[in-house]
Formats: sequence, structure tokens, C-alpha cells
Amino acid sequence: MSFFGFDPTGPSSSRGLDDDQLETYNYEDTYEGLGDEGDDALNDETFGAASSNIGKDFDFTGGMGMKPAAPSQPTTQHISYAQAAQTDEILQPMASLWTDESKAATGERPTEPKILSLEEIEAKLRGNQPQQHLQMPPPPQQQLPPYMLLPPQIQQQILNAAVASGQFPNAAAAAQAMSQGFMPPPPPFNQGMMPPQFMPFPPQMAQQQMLNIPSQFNQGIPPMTQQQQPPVDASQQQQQQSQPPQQQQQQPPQQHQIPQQPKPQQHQNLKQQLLPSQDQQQARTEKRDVDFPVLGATKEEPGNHITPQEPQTLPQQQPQQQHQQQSQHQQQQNYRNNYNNSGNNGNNGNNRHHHFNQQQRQHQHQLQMQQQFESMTPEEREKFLTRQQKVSKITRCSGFMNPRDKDFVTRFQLSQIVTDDPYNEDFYCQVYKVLNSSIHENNMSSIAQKYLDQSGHRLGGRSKRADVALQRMQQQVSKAVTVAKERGERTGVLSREGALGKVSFGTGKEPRKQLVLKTKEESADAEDDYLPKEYSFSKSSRTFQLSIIENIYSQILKLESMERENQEFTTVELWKSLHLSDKMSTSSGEVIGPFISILSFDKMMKVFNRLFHFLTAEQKFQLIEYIFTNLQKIDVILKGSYKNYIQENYEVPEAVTKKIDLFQLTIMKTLVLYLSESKFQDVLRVLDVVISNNNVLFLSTTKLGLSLVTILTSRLELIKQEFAQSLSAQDLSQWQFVYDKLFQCLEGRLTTIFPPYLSNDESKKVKTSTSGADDSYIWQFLASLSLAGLLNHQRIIVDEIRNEIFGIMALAKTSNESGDVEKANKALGNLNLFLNVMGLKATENDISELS
Amino acid sequence: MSEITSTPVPSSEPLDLIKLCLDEQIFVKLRGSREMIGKLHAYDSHCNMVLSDAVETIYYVHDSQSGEIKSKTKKSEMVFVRGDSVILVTDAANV
Repeated sequence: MSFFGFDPTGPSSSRGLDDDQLETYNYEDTYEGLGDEGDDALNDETFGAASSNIGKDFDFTGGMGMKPAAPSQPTTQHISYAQAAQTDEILQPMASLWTDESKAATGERPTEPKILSLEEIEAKLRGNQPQQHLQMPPPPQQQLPPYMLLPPQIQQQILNAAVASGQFPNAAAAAQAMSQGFMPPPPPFNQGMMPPQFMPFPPQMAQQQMLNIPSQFNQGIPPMTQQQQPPVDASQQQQQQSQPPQQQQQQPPQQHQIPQQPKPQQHQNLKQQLLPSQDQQQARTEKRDVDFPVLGATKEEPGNHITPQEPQTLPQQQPQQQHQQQSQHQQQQNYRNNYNNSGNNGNNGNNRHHHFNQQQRQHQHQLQMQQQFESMTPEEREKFLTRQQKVSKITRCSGFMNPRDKDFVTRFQLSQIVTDDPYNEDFYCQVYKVLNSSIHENNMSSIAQKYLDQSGHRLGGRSKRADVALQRMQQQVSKAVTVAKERGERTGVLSREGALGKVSFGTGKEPRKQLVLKTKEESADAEDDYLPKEYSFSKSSRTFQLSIIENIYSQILKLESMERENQEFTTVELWKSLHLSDKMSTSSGEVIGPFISILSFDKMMKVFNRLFHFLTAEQKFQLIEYIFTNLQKIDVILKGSYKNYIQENYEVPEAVTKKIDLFQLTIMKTLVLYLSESKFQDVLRVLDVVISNNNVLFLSTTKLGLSLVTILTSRLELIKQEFAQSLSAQDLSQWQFVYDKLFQCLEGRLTTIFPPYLSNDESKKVKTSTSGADDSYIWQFLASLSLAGLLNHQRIIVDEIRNEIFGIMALAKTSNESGDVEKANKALGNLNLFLNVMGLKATENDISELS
Repeated sequence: MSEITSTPVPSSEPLDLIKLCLDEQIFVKLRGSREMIGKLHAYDSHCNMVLSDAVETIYYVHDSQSGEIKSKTKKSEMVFVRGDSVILVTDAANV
């Protein structure tokens, strides 16, 4: 596209260099594929349907031939400037929110926010060139220091003072410095001037006004071309205007900046995107340069900053500047024609009207503020001005992003939040939602709502409705979700043709890696069973046990996530990870299975229930059998026996008691649940396994061992009594056989099941910190043992533990006497649990038959 | 029953050694002459860690002339250890 009638094919000195620099930027990586979408839906809207057909042969005179239009046509010009500048930028976001508009109905902008690819952005930058400078609505407050709005005589005073103070060589330099805000602000004055914030004219409006003023001023200021000048030549610009001979020198840079040469311009724009801070700054300065004279002209204040020579030099400048202005105007005209051609005439008119209203409102507002300012006291004004200065500082950088940029950034941020796999990546949030939300809410809208709330984002702005903003955000979210889904298939490492190494790219979940380690699969391919030495642990080592547990955990987590998603799963891997068929030797030389050894780790106990849940019925029984076979090898049970602590006065360490409690809450609970639903034969088999493979006498000295045996015997006896019909004679005789075996193991040594610290036998009992703890498990065992036994079994039991029974009765008596009725009742309750089985009942004084 | 032919390797990344210690007592050596022993609840790639029932031991020079070093201990029920101060992490059983 060409501007201002320059020949686009003309040679450019900086062209080659720019091209080189351009090549070095590759943003494919950082854009994360967000831009891999369709065409820009708004190109047509922006340029008219015929935009693609626009060539370089613009007719800048609007069909009037090559003859430049007469320079004395400011009134017609001013409409087109404002129009062209306003239509696009203001129209689009508004139009997208006006649902009754035909354009919004087509769903171009609001319903289908597009993401641009790099190429598209480039193309757009190229195509958008003429509009960009006009569109950009720079915050007006950034352009003028407040005192620039002071009346001319006061500004003149400041200037004089500044020059007198020796800060500046002459009045022109001082004026320049002041215009750029380099001068310390003077004390506030009160000549009825507007503070900068209440100069809401965007530059194009200023231009429009400017065009209404005497042409002398108008022509003294080339409105557009100066925008492109780098900030350094701000003062040169002034000189240029005042000193005609230098004009020729200034010409080349000016030409260079004119966006007629597509390549450098494109480069500059790209750079503007890539290096926002630098270029924003530049843009800011540029604007200041431009708007300063423009606003000055608007005020029609002669001599406040323009050096006295200026008017004299104007005639020489005129032709060129006229031409520039003219061509620009034609450009606008051209653009507008295109726009109208695209069939948006009605819309355009509507917008024009709207724009006009806005303009009027702004003007009224401005007047109002001016009046307010006049009526203020000096202190108030001072406050007011400082406040305005603060505000202008804050808002200095605002307005650089258009709605589309904001959309892009929003989507970029959202794409980091949303995930395709919420249960794995966002587990706690999901759980939290389940726990806290009684109302089932739409996922998209909740994310969008959350985002809006959290970011303090008002997409729609103050004047627009919040639900529209929410709706837009929901669309952004759904878009981001699809992108996230597509992204999920990528691995994060990309081999590109021509690249020397592998290109890695980061996401929020998976940051860019400094090192790309070979994955397990890759190394497995390379060498089948190769393991680095440091990862093969000795089989007895703690690290080995811990790694088994971690393996089990990862299997379980995998299965749990499959279960949540109702996928088919097999437990083969999990079963393998239990290492049930393996053996390892402990440090003491004993050979035990790894699974038994890890059962004593807290985290293994905690995961046992989750593990058990996934096993098949067959696997479950196998596991149960395995555990009961190796019962006395389980560390918790082994260490739980009071026999280990004879040296320590039977004081069981606290760590062990804690582990025992944990075992009861986790593994034993699971086992009890399983056994309480098991068949008679299975339970009988398990009991048989326990008795055959373990030292029952030793097991009975542990709380856990005794409890487990109690569970088995009571379950068997329960089934026998309730479902006797369903049991075969063989089952019953088998049970009798196993019971006899069990009883034989304990006969004569039944008192050993009472740990000394729980015993009430005077000759045996030991006082420890755990004395007086719950001994009900012992009485439960005795009860189940006597329940399953015959009368002679019961007699033997009572005979053996006679001392304990009387001990309990004595304890109950002393407790009652000392007023501790609760303790007495509890002790008697436990005793009666056992005695009731045999039809007896104990009080603190005697034992009687149960009535 | 067969002997184990290969030991399980959950993964071969360095931090997996810390993963093994989850829910176990670990020993952490920290900058500023500090050590900590506690149960590891969570960690991340920066070695940020959450420990429970942690005992922190701080060593300091009691007498600068004789170079006598003393230590204080501090107990915390639950503590977050920021990863940038971590020098060493190991199973407390190894210490």
C-alpha cells in the first residue's frame, strides 16, 4: 500500500538491513499455536469487502485527477478526518455489543473472536497502516503538561522566567522544553484553563478543530507526518519550521518515515509489537510532539510557543505541507469510500451520529469542568492539578492495546488456566468444587466468572453490560479449552527441520525445560534392561521398599483416574507392583516378601484400602491369604508384642503404638470389612493359614495379632450359628479341627495374652504409661474363643485366667469406693462380655449365673 | 516364588529420590547453618517443601574468640521450607 503519493518501488537505503532484522524474529514458539486459526474476520469490516483488491495505484485525489485539491477547503476536510479516525476504532467494539446491529448479528466480531497468526498480524499491520495512526486513541492527558494549558500570557511569564534563570539559551528552547514537560511545573494558575484530563479530544478531533482555524496556522503544522518522526528531532522540527535552509536536510528522515515504503514500515510496526516498552515510549514522545502544536493551535493562542519567526517562514513550507495534508485527506477519503462500499452504509451513518453525540458530550463535559475549575479556590485548584497530574501519570500508558489485543492477552492467560484433564492437573480444585458447590454450575461460565472477578477485568467497560463481558469471556474460555486440548497432544519437544537442536516450548503446566532428559521409553529402546547403577537398589534397602511404595501409588493414581473417567482398566500392572512373589532378606537375615516389609510404612497403610479396592475377587483373597500367612513377620505386629520390651519394663515405644493405631484404622479395617462378607470356607482357610504358619502364642501377645484371630473366630462362629443349614458336615468338622489346633496352641499359656501393663493379676501387673488403657480386645478374644469352644474349653479358659477375673472385680470395687463409677462399670463390662458367653455375670462382689 | 531380577524404578529423575521420601522423616540441610528434620508432606521442582512436626536446628557461633559453636532448636507443627535455601535433602534414616 502506498501513502502520500510516493513511489513504493523507489529504492530504500535501509531496506536490506530491515529485512535481515525482520528474519530473526520467530514467534511461533511463544504463540503456542494460539494463532493457528482462520483468517482475520475483521479485515473486511475494516477495509471493506474489496480490501484484497486494493493495489498500489490509489487515486489520492478522489477521482479528481492528479491536480491537488485547493488548499482552502478546511471545512470539508474536517469531517473526513474525524470520521475516518473514529469509525473503525470506536465503531467496532461498540458494534460488537449492539446486538441489534446488522453487523453484530452476522456474528463476526463478538461471537467468533479470532486469533491471528503471525502472518496475519503481519499482513494486517501492512494493510492497516493508514488507519493505525488515526485509530490509535492516545489518552489525551499524556500529551500536555498541565501548564501548557495555561493562558498565553502566563506561559510567556514562565518562559521569560526560565530564560532569565539561564536554564535555556533562548525563549524558543524554553518553549520547547516546556512543551515536552521538561520544565518544573509552575505554581497553579487560575485563568480558567482546563486541566489536561479535561481535554478529551483525541488527536483527530484536535485536528478537526484545527482545520477550522485560520489556514495560516493550519498549514503551519503538518499533522500526520510528524507523528512518524523519532523523538530526537523534536527540536529540529521547530528549527525546520523556522529555518527554511535546513528544510532540505530534514527531508530525508522525514521521507524515510513515511509509510509509503512497505518493507521498512512493516518492520517498524513489527518492532513496535516486539519491543513495546521502547516503542511505546517513542510513540508517546511522538504524540507529544504532534499534539503540542496542534492543541496550541486549537487554542488559537498566538505566540505561546511558536517562535516569532515562524509565520514568516510559513509560505515556504506551505506547498509541501499542503500536499501532505492533501494526500492524507485523500487517503482518508479513499478509505472511507472503501468502507462504504462494503455495504455498511447504514452502520456508518449510525456511527457518525453516535460519534457526533459523543463529541458533543465531551465538549459539554469539558466546558463544565472548565467552569468548575474557575469556581475553585486556589488550594482546591492546587489539589486538583496535582491529582490530575497523578492521574495522568497512571494513565500515561493506557490505551495502547486495542480490544483485540486485550482479547488475545486474555485468551493467552485463560489458556494457562483451563485444562483438558482437570482431575489430574487441577485435582484439589475439583475436590474443592465438589465439597463446596451445592449447585451444579456451568464449567465455562464459572471459569469465566472467576477470571473476571479475580483479574478485576471489566471487558465491557463501565458503560457496557457485565453479562456481555461475561459472555465474551465464556467464548474466550471455550476457545482456550479447545486450544488446550489440541496442545495436550504435543509433547513439549519439537524436532524441527533445519533446527540444530530440539526446540522446546513451555506452557503454564509444563515450563520450558532447560534440559531435555531422555524419557524412560527412549532409554528402554536403546538398551533393554539397562539401569544406571545408582537406580538399582539393594533389595533389602529402605530405598527399595520406598520405591515399591511409590510404584504402587503411581499405579493406584493411574487406576483411580481411569475409574473416574469410567474407562476399562486392568489390575495386572498393579498386582505386579505388589511384588507378592518376590522375596527379600532383611538386615537380620530373615527372608520376607517385599510387600510384607512395606506394610509397616505409614503411607502403605494409608493406601491399602485404595489398593484393595482395585483388586479382583481372586486377587483379594490371594492377598488376604498372603498377609495372614506372614502375619507375624509384619513389622507393626512384630514390634507390638510386649515380649519385646521386657527390658524396658514393658513400655511400648510411642512410635510403635502410633503405628499400631494406624494399622487398626487402615489395614485391619479393610480386612475386617472383607472378612465380614467372606464365605465360611474362605475364613476357615485363612484361620488355618494363620495357625499353621505363625506362632500363635507369639501373635496372642500382640494387640493386632490377637484382634485378627478374634475377627476370624467370631466370624466363623457367627456364620455357624446363623447359617448352620448352609454348612456341610465337612465344613463343620473342619472348623472343629482348626479350633482344636488353635486351642492347643494356647492351652496352659492363656495368661500370656494379658500384657503386664494391662493385667489385673496382682502377681504380674506392671504399672506403665499405658496401664489402664483399653483392654477390651483381650476380653473380646476370650469371648470368641469360649463361644466357639465346648464346655470343657470354657472351663479351661476360666480356670487359667481366674486371677485376671478376680483382679477385675477387685478393681471395680476399689474404683467404686473411690467414686470412679465409670471405670468400675467399664472394667465389669469387659469382663461380662466374656462371662456372658458362658451364661455367667459378674458384679464387683461375686459371679452369678445370668438370669 | 522367584527372586527379583530387576528392581522397580519409578522414574529416573533426580527429584524422584525425594518423592520416595514422601510421608517419611527427612533431613534437610539449609543455608544459614540450619538443619531440619521433619515429615515430608509435599515438595515441588524448586525443592520447596512442606514438613510437619519439624525440628529446626540452628547453629551459631556462641563465642567468636574461642569459636565455640552452639545450637538452638525450634519446633514447628507444620512448616514451609522455601526451596532456594535448601542445600541437601535426605532420608532421616540416613543421618
